[in-house]
Amino acid sequence: MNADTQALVTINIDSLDYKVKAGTNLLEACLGLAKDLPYFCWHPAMGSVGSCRQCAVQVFQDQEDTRGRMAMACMTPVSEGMIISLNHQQAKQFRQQCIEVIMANHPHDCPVCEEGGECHLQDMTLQSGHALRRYKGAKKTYNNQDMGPCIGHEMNRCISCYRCVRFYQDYAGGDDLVTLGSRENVYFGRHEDGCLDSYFSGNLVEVCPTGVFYDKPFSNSFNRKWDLQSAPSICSHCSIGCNLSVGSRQGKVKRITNRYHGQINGYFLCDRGRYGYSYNNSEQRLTQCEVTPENSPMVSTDYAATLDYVGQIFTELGQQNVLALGSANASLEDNLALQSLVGKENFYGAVSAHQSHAQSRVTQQLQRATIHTPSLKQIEQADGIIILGEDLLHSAPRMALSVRQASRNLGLEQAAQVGIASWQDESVRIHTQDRRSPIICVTCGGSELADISALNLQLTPSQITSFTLALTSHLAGQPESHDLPAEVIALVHQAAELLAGAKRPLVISGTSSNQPALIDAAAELSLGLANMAQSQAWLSYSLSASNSMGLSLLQDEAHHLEQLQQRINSSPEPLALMVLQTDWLAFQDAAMATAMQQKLQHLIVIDQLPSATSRAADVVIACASLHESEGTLVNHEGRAQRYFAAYEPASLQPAWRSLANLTRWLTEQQPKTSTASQQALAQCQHFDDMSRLVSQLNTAFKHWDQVAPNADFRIAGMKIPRQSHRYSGRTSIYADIDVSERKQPLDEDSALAFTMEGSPVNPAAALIPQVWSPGWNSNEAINKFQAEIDGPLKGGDPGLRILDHQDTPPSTPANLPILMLNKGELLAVSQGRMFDSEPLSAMASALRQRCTSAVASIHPDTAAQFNLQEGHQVSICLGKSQWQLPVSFDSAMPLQSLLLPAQWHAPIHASRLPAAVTVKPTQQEAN
Amino acid sequence: MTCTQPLSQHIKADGSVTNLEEYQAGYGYQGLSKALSMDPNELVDYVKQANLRGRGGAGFNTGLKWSFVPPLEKLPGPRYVICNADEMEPGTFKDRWLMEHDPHQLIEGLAIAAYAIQAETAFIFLRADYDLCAQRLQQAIDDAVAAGLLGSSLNARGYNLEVLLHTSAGRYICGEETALINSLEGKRANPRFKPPFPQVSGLFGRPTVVNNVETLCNLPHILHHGIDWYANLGLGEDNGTKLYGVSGKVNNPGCWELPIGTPVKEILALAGGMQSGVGLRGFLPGGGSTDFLTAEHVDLAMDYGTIQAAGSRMGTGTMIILDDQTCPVGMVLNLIRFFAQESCGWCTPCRNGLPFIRQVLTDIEAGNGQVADLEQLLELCGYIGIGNTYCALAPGAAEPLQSALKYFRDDFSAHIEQGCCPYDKPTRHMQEAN
Repeated sequence: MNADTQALVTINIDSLDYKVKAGTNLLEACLGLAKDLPYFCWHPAMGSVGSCRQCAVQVFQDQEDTRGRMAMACMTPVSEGMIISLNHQQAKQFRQQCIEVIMANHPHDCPVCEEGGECHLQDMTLQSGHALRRYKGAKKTYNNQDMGPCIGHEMNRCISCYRCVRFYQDYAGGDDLVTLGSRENVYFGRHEDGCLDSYFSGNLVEVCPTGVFYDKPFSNSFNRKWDLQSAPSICSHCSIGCNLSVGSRQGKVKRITNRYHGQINGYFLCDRGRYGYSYNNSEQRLTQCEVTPENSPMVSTDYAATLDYVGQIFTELGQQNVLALGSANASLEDNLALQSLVGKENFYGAVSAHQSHAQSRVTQQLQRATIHTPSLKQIEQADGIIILGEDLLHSAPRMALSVRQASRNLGLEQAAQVGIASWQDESVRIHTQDRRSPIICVTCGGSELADISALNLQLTPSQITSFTLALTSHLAGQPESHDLPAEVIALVHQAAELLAGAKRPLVISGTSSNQPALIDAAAELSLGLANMAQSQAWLSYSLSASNSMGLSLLQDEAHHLEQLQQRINSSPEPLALMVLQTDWLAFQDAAMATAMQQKLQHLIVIDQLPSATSRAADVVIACASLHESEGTLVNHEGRAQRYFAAYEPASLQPAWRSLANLTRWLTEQQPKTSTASQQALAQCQHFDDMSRLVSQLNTAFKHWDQVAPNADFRIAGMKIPRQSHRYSGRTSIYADIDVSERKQPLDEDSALAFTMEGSPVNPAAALIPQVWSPGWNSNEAINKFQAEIDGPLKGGDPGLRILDHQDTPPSTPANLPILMLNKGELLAVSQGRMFDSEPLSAMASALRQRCTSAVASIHPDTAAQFNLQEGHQVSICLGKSQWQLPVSFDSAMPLQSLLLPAQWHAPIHASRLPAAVTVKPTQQEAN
Repeated sequence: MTCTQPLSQHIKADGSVTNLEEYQAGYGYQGLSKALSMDPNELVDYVKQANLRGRGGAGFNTGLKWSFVPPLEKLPGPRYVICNADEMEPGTFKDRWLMEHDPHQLIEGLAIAAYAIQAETAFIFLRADYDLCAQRLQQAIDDAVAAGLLGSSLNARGYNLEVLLHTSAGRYICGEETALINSLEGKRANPRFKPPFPQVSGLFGRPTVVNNVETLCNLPHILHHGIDWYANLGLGEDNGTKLYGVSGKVNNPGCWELPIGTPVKEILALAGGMQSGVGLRGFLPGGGSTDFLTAEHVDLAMDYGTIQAAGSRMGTGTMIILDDQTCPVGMVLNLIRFFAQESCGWCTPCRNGLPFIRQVLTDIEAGNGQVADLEQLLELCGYIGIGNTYCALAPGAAEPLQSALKYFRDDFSAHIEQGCCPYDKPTRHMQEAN
């Protein structure tokens, strides 16, 4: 941020002086001062375009000027000594007239509209004072379009504010939602019916000030916003950790909306995050414990009996023979409980060796004092980005959206040179045209950011590492001593030229290609670029799961899946394995999975949904889902963030509590053999006890109590209600069962209450269930929660960055087996997929309908060598696992490689790739 | 020899086109030669001093407009000149007359403007329906290129110029210079916010000047005859000549080049006066988007200042006559229908305000109006007025309505009181019978 934007100017609003930030516009300034000034087309993240004319104010020349002239606040820069009025009759009347004319055609179908009760148009109508309809003509009507499973379309409600297309095209880069027609017949839709392509389409629901674009799954089992019981939550479908507001009713998650976080998601989510929740409401959910002893038909479902049974296993096998597998999808508290129970030496991470080492390299690189990992908001400031080995739009979609914003920095700079303010959105885009800051994508299977990329290369994973090393050498003026072909070296030089002018260069990489060496190479490149730009080294990694970072901070990097396999296979004694929220067997080679199952005496699964692993287990402990429990996830930048239960599940406990209960049983039964960590865990009754346990673990966690307020937190002596103060039907909601008012469940684990009683105003930033402010019922109420418009939340953006800088340099990387291709083999590489790569969101029916069909992509020349024809089936073998896929040609693919979709339920799981596979055409045309 | 009708000097009575040879037989392209021999900054100053005011309607000093283009040294890279030939103002047909009959005059003017701001690409953005203009302009461009009058190395400075003809897809709003630019870029023809002005960030984000056809056609003559000659052409404060047009129930509707500042009544006289049986009720002096003036204003001089002082605008200088047998409400409704239809749909007052007005007027014209409607119409005129909208379309649309409410309010009231249009022939007939 430069000095100009920090400076303050004094403006006079309705006879009172205020200090506001220089360089901003009047609308932002007024909203920042908590003034109510209506608007539609302006958006804090998308700037001003002056289309709706709703934010008119009166501007006066000087003290003598009493008439003034009207100006649109969003298009008027603030200036020192400016005198304006929001209450001036002329401006007020004009704002009212604007509503009157847009209401001429509005259907007034509020009682059946999905937006009713949280409608920005309703709010602005009331705010403007328009009440009386004078228009006598007929209303215009429009045809609606089928926009797919996520977004409903009801064009009659449209007020033509242009926000939808501005978000969809300008902000998110989509091209299939457009403005059609003109005059009062403007139509926002597609050229023909069909599912919206953009992975960010769900934001239309929130961007639209009325009910044109609505959340279709929510609409299918609708209730009003004021009747949702909501909780602040964190998205678990990738490593970014976007903040969510989860709305529930009657024990089901009803919908997910954006929860503003100034440094991460801002105002926008990806569709995976918004629609990925439906696993939570699945009929298949595990609802009770199940004990199925071997060779016994008896099944126990009693919770206490189950814990008892598991305790017996510890006694029977000896504590040293109970192993555990933690999950990168589970909270740090759940993982820590499991680790405390079995001991660190018996605790493994459900990640492959390469993945585990890559993750460990990430943690070490980000702890270097010379390296800074930017938040998404900071990523948007970068002016030259190179993305290595990640198809970001699939692996970290929200980060890809930030990269798209960063690509505009060149244009913003050029516009500033001719005096165009950054918030003058239309003018900036016109001035910039398609000139962008350089974005370079180096992937194996291609990047979906190609439309904003200056250079888009496809190389094999090991070549990507070589490319990165060569680029680093080249920047340092050293010869590139790497075995890259001349044409790739030429591209190295081109990349260096593109990044040469960047003042804030950024390197993005990640673990999805399972290359620990790439993680280190990316770090060195970021240092090299920083050296050249005389700036701080900016480096960001996308990780494989929502708590990959958290798990890696707990787990020994050598305790990965292969190591576990070896331990099981080589153990002379019978073993038990406890698996936390992971479909462990799905990762494995089919033959290996069977072998290990046979070796294990007991398999204990703690999970929310059935899986191949839970079906093979003799004990299943059903646990609460993320939306039903409290926990902490550590995102890709090392930011610990707390999620809270949206509702209390009928009979399920969070995993940590079941593990603590089990440990308590164990320590009581066997006080002599219990370890210190077991005794500590046994003391944990409430979430805050777990939290304290985490903070004692090591220095990284020492400020764990700052992640979010604890359960004792109160505002004016009151908890924070999950239900709105307009919550209705508390006595009637279960009237089909009985009419008595039920006792509200108590939440002893957090400062949130499962009721409507409590303080509705201004809670701590980490504890905002949903936003509301008098007169502001839609999500636009967020203005009232921000310390400054588009800035941090009041009290600071929630979460805690826990990666302290370490003085010790990164350790020497472990030697991992080098992948060699034998004759007749191909290098299989995985490609992330937006809607079916992540296990939980892959179950969402709305998203499943949007999955593209799975194909194996290959260079046509390589295909010819292996006698593969486009569209024909190929059988792919890795160990004993086999997969049949149709062949698709892609001449940008590297030779001798085969790109496989990283589908979660694929016979060859992405965590096993890259690997050498054999292929065989099956002589059969794909359907 | 004094030249008093420079712009129309080559226009032939038979409607045929003046070809290059005929054009050069006079002093054709000598103005350009003179311009090319000058320093571009000197040229800009020269035209500024000539006080050539934009003939598209706004009347802004052309040289001054050019001078806002940042110098090439300060902002290197391409810049553009665009001729606004999207003549769609109701009642206006002056540019068509110039382009159809003397296309080289426009091309020469365009080349002078392009050189002044160092643009090496110039566009002619032509109204979709002007087929004959398109044909004749393209022929003229081709002939000029063949003759080496356009193209590369036109002067010692190595100045190059390419002239491209673009035919519009046909929207009134494309006459608004920034909407024109968007349209030329292939985008929706929505106007742009100013600032930045096109001179700084115009076509493809580059410095751009948009000039009207008639404006550009003045340039060769100013260059050839000089500033003094040009200043002496006008009758009042303004310089040069102006193409004036008259349409409506006059005997001889048409277009004439006259000294700027010629009184209205002289122009009406050239139009042959009113047709028999009808009297002059009022007129829109400069096209459909200007305020009505009435019979009492016919002595006024048609120049920017005088007409503005009388409460209207000279606009394009092409009058539409309202006679006393035609319903002013119906005439205004017709105009409002046009403007509502031509709204680009970007800003609320225009997109939704004009159809709102159309509805109220339709009710009044059909005899379904109420007394309160008149106050509401005035209120709506204020609502869509200057400063309230994104561009000048809606404020322009309000002009004939607000002035009709001022001068012809009795007609509006009569519609409401009688529950019908008093000008409808059957009604009138019945009234006469009574």
